[in-house]
Parts: sequence; structure tokens; C-alpha cells
Amino acid sequence: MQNYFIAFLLSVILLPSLLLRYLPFRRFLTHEQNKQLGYWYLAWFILLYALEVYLLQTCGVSLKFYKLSVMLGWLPYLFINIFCIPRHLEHHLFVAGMQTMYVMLLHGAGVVILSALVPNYDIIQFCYMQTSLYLLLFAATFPLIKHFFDRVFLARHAINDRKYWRSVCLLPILIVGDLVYLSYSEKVLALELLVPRLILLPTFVILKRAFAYDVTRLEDQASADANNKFLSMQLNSLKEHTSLMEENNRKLAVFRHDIRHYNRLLYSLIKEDKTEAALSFITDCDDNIMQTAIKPYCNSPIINAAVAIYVNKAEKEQIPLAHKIELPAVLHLDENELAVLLCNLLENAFRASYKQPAADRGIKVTAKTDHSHLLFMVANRFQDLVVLGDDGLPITYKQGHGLGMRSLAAFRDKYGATVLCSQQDGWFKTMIYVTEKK
Amino acid sequence: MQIFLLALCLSISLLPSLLLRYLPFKPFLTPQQNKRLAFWYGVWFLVLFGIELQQLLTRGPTVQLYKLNIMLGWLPYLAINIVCIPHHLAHHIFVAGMQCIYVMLLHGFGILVLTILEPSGSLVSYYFQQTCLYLLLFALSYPLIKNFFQRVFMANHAINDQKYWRTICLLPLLIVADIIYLSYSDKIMATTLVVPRLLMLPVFVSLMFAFTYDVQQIEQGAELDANNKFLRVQLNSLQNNAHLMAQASRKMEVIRHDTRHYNQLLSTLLREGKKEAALQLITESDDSLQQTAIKSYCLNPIINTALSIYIEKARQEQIPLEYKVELPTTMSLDENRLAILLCNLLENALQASYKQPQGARTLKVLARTDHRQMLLSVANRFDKPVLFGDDGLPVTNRNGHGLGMRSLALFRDMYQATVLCSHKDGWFKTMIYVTNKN
Repeated sequence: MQNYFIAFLLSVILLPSLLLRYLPFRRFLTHEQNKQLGYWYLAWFILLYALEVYLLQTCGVSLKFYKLSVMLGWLPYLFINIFCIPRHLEHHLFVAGMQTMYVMLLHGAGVVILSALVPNYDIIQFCYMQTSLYLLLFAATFPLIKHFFDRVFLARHAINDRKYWRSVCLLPILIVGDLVYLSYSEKVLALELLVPRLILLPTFVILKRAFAYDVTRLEDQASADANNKFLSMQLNSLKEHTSLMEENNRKLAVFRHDIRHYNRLLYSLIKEDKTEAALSFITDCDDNIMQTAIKPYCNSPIINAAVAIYVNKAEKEQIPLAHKIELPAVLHLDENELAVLLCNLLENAFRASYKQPAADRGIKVTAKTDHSHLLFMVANRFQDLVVLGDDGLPITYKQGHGLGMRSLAAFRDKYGATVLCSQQDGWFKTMIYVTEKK
Repeated sequence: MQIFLLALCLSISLLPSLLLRYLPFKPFLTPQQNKRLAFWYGVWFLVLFGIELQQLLTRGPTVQLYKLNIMLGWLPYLAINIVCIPHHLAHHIFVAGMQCIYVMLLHGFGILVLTILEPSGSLVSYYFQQTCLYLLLFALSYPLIKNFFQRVFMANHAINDQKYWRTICLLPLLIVADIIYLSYSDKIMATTLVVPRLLMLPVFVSLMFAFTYDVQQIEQGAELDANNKFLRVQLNSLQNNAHLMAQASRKMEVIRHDTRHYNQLLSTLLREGKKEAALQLITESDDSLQQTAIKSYCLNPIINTALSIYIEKARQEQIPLEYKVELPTTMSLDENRLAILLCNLLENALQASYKQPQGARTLKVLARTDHRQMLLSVANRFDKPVLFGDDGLPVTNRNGHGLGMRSLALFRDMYQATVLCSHKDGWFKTMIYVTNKN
């Protein structure tokens, strides 16, 4: 009976670390993947339990057996993760390393507390007490580390920086490797390994911070990169626009300069009764003048530049794009930011459109102001279901928010804007409503 | 006599690690700092020699003394570095940690080889042999790690990312701390600690990779950031230009409108055969029109924008700026890049001018093209000496190249341009010469 119970303890003790290895991937697993994982986890849990019962019956319980179970029993769980969540080998290894470090810390703390409180215990008592201490410590510290494991892969661009993860994935497991190796013996090494285990705590904390810092930086860099691209695009578009405008103004100026000659010519033509020639001369002049007129999409040059990029793109790719932009020449919010946001949203709308059949594509942009409000809307036809996150913004079905949505969230927070995303009648629509603060 | 040699052995075995801690800072130390460092290094070397002599005389050679010497003897050297190279505490700690890992690795390896080759040597011969082996291993592996220690702080922006270094500086030291702690005993632990020590090798390599990657990332991030700022400055300036242009356009719009009316009226009159009225209309409308001129420094709009920013800035700061820019409206190389380069060079020139006395400031910009080549030169008065690097570009006396020069180097590589920097007669001058490949 006791053997059954100890085997159960030894199986249960592996579950907290399983949770830590599952947590980082949780958000982007499909329903089927979750089912598959659940099935295999259960299979190994039962198999391990049986194995341990068998070993306990034949060899009896020993400290080495306990340690071996803690050190190796989780490896099949890791393999299950690697197979059921493919193409994330580096991430699995990294998470496994961080989790091993954390588990070693807790076990170390547990055994120190145990030998301080209870000087004499037999191996059976040890199994019970150490397991419960471990579970207790895990429950007590879980809120502190949950955030890290939950979020480490949420940043969409950071997770895809394969080169980064390849260079760091083995680090945590290597760092804790020596301690795991040294811990494996027939004795309880609470005191001998006290200092190395104590050192493990700051190491773990610093690693956690360093990785969080790196991920934030990778993400910032990706968004800076995208921003720079948008800015260059805008710069080019604005440049084109101004040089066109300049050229037209120059033509018109030349015409105005020449109007004396024009009038003189007309005057002579009419005087000489060449009415037909005079009329065609006038029509010609009229055509020339009309050619110099350019219609901007809106009065604000930067927003105009951003819209121009995508109107041209839509024409080239034959995606119907309806735009109605009524903005004053000077806005009360940073036009650069608004333009970058517009680029982001339109970029997303184009990406989504590519997933639609060619005939079912369409994009709409509307912007309107009255004296203190700005209403801004980008919509695109989209038939697949869009999943909205807790914050009301869509999340991509793979990993976390896209850059466009990050940029939108940043804009919303900065200006206290109201953002509404909705999907209705085959249109996905993002509305932004900013009230100007006086 | 033997005691002297033993003490010398112990003192010398600390010198390789001293080199590793000195190497990263070497490129930006002044001669005075170098002198001071050498003086204090010499002082501690002698003091340590004295202490060791005394210890060996009183207690004779022990394993513990050898270990203690290796583990603690370098700390005063570190303290000297920290004091003589101030404002770099995080960097010193980081380098010390990396160097510790490396030294522990070599010592572990050395003692392993020693115990295999000569299992029962005397302690005195162990002292000599272990030191020799360590020095030999260091000499052999030095070329492999030299690059890392030499370059880790070369990146101008990475070294100044204090937040990053504060986060990670303790990591290497913490990682190696448990092995150091476990190694400190009165026995030789060659076989007991062989696995943990072997694990250090991949840890060290991974850390080296990870940090190198991080430094590159930080540097790229800084570049993105600077680019972003330049783009924004340009965009804003272009936007102002566009606003002015739009105002001019609006006036032109009125003229266009009036002219069309005038033309319409004329055609109607002509069709109705009212010749006299038409002629009168022409005579009446002959007026003189005022132009709305936008200040233009050169034909190319984007270069014009870049110039405008700095010409205006120089005017505000009352720094005389002479320019002669003759560029066509369109050019065969990327105008955005050229504009960014121009911004960079002018920014550098302005910055240098601030260091000059008020009366001795002048800038000159010259740009010229024909169909085959383009010549761009920016010059500023500068009296202090300028240091040039191996590539002919100036180096700032702190750490490596500034961003302006990096951008210049990029441009040069992209267009295979010839870049000449010179400093003569109180003028610092950068000349860029691009030949059109088409």
C-alpha cells in the first residue's frame, strides 16, 4: 500500500514543472494540440506511475531513487512537448532549462528546511515531507514567476528571432547542469550544497531579468524597424508629392509669367479675325492649366503621403480602396504618429486582403474631424473569424499581437483614444476615436 | 631558494587573468591611465610576492594556499582597475566574471591532466607543474578568446547601455561561483569536480556567443534609433516645406480658377462674335502678378530639405555657412541616403564648431555633379587635433567611431565611393567622390 502511495507522490511531484513548461506555449496552441498534449501527458503519467510501483516493489525505496525520479522523470514530458508543439525546439530547451533551475531551487530550499526542522527522519518520511514541502513552496512562489513563464514567448517578433534563441537556449540548462550532477548521490546534501544552491537564486533572478530585457529589446527593435520603413515610405511619397506640386507650380508660374505674350498673341489673332485659331489657342491653354492641378487626398501633407502610398498600392494590386479623408491641414495630435498608425492599419488590411479570394477584396479608409474630435476608421473585407484578445484588439492565431496592433495599443494609451474592433457582414473594421484634450 | 620560486610561480599565475581584465578597456585608456595602472599593478605584484613568501616560509606549500592565491589574489588587481578606470563598475564586474569562468576552466583542465599524467607527485612539483600547465593552456587557447575580450566594449552604443550591463554584469560571476566554492578545500578535486568543470566549457562558449549577439543587437538598435530620428527630422522639415508649397498651390489654385473663367469668357465672346468686348477683356486683364517664391538652395527637393535644416540652424547659431550646391532634380544614387549622409556630416560639423571659439567658426558645403560623377564636400574650422583610424576616418577619443562616420562608411561601401578626410590649416574637411557605374 505504501509503495503505491509513494509512487503516486513521485508522479505528482513532476506536475508543477510540467505546468511551467506548458505555460509559455499555452496562448498559441490549437484545440487539437491541447487535446493531443493532454492525452500523451496522461499516458506518461500512468506509465511512470506503473514503472515506479514496479521499481519500488522490486528494489525498495531509496534516496537515489527519489532523486533519479525527480531528475529524469520529466524528460518524456519534454519530448511530448517537443513533438506535439513542433518547430520550437530552441524554445522548449530554453524553458526546460529555466524550469529545471527553478525546480532545483525549490528542492534545495525544501531539503534545507527539512533538515533544519526535522533532524532525524527515515526515507519514507523524507519522501512525504520533501514532496509536500516542494509542492507548498511551488504554490507559494508560483505567482512570482508565473508572469515570466506566461509571457516569455508572447512577443511575436522576439519569438521568431531564431538566431537569438539558438545562441541562448542551452544556457540555463548548462548553468544548472553541474548542480544537478552534484546533487545526485545517496546522501541528503542539504548542507554541502547549501552555498551553490543559494547562489542559484540570484542567478535565476538575473537570468529571468536578462531574458525579459532581451525580449523587450528585440520587440522594440522590430517595431523601430517597421517604423523606419514606414517613415522612409512616407518620406518618399511626400517627396514625390512635393516635387510634383513644385513642378506644377513652376509650370503655372511660367504660364503667368508668359501671360503677357499669351494675351498679345490672342489679341493679334482676334484682331486678324482668326477666331478658330484663337479658340483652339484658348482651349490648348485651358488644357495646359488643368494638367497642373493635383488633387491631394487630404490637407495634411504627411497623412496625404501615407494615404498616397496605399492608394497607389491598391491600384497596382487591383484591390478596391475607398477613401474619404477630411482632415484639416494642422491636427492637434502628432501627425507622424497618426501617419505611422495609418500605415500600420492599412498594411494589416492589405495583408488580410491577400488571404481573401481576389474578387472578395475591399478596403475602406475614413477620417473625419470636427473641432474637438477625430474619428478614424479602416475596414477591410475578411471572411475568416478574427479572434479578439482581452483588450478588444485582435490577436493573430499564431503568437500574440502583430506589430500593427501593438502600435495601435500604444497610440490608444498615449491619447486616451477609444478603439473599437469589430467584425460584421464580412467586414473587419477598426475604429479610433480621439477627443482632443484642451 | 625553492620558496622564492614557488612564490614567484604563484604571483605569475595571476598575470594572464590580469591581461584578460585589461584587454577590453585597452582601446580607450589614456597614456596617463596606463601608467597609473602599471604602477599599481607593479605594487600589488610585489606585495603579493611578499605575502606569499611569508606564508610559504611559515606554513610551507599547501593545496589550500595555492587555491586561495588563485581565488583571491586577483581581487586587488580588479580593485585597481575599478579605481583607475572609473565609471565602468558594471563592465569591470562583467569582465571579471567571464575571466573567472575561463580561468577556472583552464585550472580544472590543468589539474585533470596533471593527475592523469602523474598521479602521485609531490606538492612542490604540483605547484610548478600546475602553473606551467595553466600558462601553457592559456597561451594555447588565448587566440580563441582574445577577440571576445578585445571587442566586447568596442561598440560605442552597447557600452553605454547601462541598464543592460547593470542587469547582466553579475551573471558570469554567479555562474562560476558555485564551482569556486566547491573547489576550495584542502584536497585536489580533479576527479570529483570533473563533470561540473567540463560543463563550464559549453557555458562559457554559450555566454560568449550570447553576449556578442546582444552587443550586436544593441548596436543595431542604436543605429535604427538614430536613423529614425533623422527620418523624423527630415519628414518634419519636408512637411513644413509641403505646407508652404500647399499655400503657394492654393494661391495658384485661385489663379488657375480665374484664368479658366477668363478663358471661358473669352471663348464665349469670340463664339458670339463680340470681338470688341473680347479685345477689351484682354487689355483689362493685363496685370502684373506677384510670385510666391519658396527659398531654394538646390534643385533636388530632398537634398534641399536637408540643407534647409542646417542652413537655418547655422543661421540661428550665427555660424557662417557657405554653400554651393549644384545638384540635378533626379540623381542616380539614392537621394534619401545622400540626404541622411549630408545631415550626418553637417551635424558633425556643427557639433565640432561648438567646440571652437565664437569667432572661429565656419562651415562650407559643396556639391557638384556631372553625368559621370558626384563630388560632395563638407568642411568646418577646427583647431584641435583630430585622430584618424586605420580606415582613414576620424575616431572620437572615447570609444570607436561616432554614428556620423559609421553612416559615411556604409555609404562608401554601398557606392564604392572614395572618402577623404583631412585636417589642414585649421580646417577639417570630408570629401566624398562617387562615380556613376552606369
